[in-house]
Amino acid sequence: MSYAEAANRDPAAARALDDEVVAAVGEDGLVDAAVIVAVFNGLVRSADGIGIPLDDVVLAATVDARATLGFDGYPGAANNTR
Amino acid sequence: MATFAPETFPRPVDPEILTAFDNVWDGLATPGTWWTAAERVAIVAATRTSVPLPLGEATPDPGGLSDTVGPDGLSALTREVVRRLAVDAGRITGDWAAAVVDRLGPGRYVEMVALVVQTVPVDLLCDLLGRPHQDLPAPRAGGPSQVVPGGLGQGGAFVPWAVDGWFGPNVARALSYVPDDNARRMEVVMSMYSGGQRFGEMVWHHRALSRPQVELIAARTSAINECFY
Repeated sequence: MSYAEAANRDPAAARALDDEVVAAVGEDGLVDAAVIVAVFNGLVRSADGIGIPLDDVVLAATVDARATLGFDGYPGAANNTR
Repeated sequence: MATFAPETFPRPVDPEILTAFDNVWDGLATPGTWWTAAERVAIVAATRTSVPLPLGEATPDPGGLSDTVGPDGLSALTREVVRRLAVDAGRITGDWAAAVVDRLGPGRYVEMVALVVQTVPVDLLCDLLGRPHQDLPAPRAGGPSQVVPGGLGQGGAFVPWAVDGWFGPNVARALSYVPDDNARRMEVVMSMYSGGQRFGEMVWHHRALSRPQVELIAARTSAINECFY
């Protein structure tokens, strides 16, 4: 999770964690983690740029979790619960 | 040689991902549905140089921004929309999007979103793996097709999207106003994350990280970006 945090906030600094991540999950695991951070940085921009509403089944299933974790306070929440 | 050849990366990357990146780059150089190829490449160049506004500085009102094209091939309006999408997307509101769509039209706005979301993952993966950013392609001649696909309608998003006969998650139809770019975007997503038929499987064996590890990284990335969806 430290790698995910750094990779999102400061990709260049995240590379300082490469050896530690490789030791934990191998080189392919490091690449895999980088791939997921990268693709989700595209997906979040798709969602926020287009104002994608939550799919009905997800909206209904996450009422408690969203409230508990504070997600309903995100600016994009207003775009997703109209 | 392919643009994103395996040997240009310091670590091994799945060939399916590199093929998807090649197709994105080829698409950038091709006239789009609403922008010329030169404009598409300029939008991606602006994506790369976008930075957050200084703390406390108000977001510009899209209605007040000039649509006069500057030396970089983009207007102040277009540049600000790209900036918002690239580095401040989590604070996009329905009112802001409506004002932008009113100025640009839905097609040009959706295609801008498509270009940002196709290229941010490419550049970020390069950053994380220590590969220089790929040079932007030389744009090909030709005008945009300006074809609006059939079967679009309002479905709760900021822009029209596929509604007739649609079955699937909303994220997959997000950019259906520009089908060619949406197809390239989905190729990137499928190769890097959802893997086609494997998406419904809770146990993954086809990649180095387990499904729970992948989803934890994905969830943390979404939370850092304050993405509700």
